[in-house]
Amino acid sequence: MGERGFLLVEVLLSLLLVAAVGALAVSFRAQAAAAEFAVHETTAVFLAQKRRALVLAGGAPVEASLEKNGSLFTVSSQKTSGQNGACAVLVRVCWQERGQARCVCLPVAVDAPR
Amino acid sequence: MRRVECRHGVAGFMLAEVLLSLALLGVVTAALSTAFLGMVRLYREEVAVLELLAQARFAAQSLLRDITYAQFVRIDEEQIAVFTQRNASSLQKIVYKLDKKKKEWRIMKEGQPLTGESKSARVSFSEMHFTQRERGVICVELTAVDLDSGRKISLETAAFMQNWREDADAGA
Repeated sequence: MGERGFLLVEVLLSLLLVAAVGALAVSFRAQAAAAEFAVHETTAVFLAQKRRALVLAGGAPVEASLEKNGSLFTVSSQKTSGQNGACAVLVRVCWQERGQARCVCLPVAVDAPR
Repeated sequence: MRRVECRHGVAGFMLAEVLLSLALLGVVTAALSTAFLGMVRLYREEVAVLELLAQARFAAQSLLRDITYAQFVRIDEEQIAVFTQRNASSLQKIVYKLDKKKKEWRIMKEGQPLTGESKSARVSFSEMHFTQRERGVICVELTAVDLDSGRKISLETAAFMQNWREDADAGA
């Protein structure tokens, strides 16, 4: 045939180099995504705690949106009446991250007024 | 690559081939090093952001815990005094304030730094605001900055004072 090609070692070495650079890039990207999620999740948890405090104090708007740390968070609370004036409130904070909807839910039990 | 037979029978490369290889090597090295340095910078920024987050979360949780069990609070500019029941007859006063003496502003609790030095970031708290809302709700806003990269983390939360009474601070 008379055609010349690459040695197996040369091909393997090239593949190894490409794989190493690719793996490095993927791991850096994954780490950046994890850090971004940590920031947004913590922000959402603290916003949920704020809503819980407002609910415990007896009044909170049904739904509110606000921008924090580069993302838009939607805070909502849903009230379910229980027995003897007590009720349960579910606080939900949602945001969009890399095209995916994320949510943090915080259940709150509110005692009956004395 | 095509090898050239020279007069003495020693094989070699043409000058054009060597120059082209060097140019290609230079371009590839420059592209790879730029990408690698960019990734390293990104990595450092992410580590700094996580450090900011950890310090802001720690400070916010400490504040929320103390405010939740407080009898009443007194809010000044970038300062809050939290009064909790020590025993039946006396109150304990815990003061949180922003210390601006150094370049890195720190949150102090009872004169001791609650936030501050870190190996991975130069953390400074640029804002600490408190607002008293209806029926014993205290809103807290904290902003932490990495002085090297300029990245900011802002946390907004609130605590409901479980022992709050409308006339609690009248006799203090």
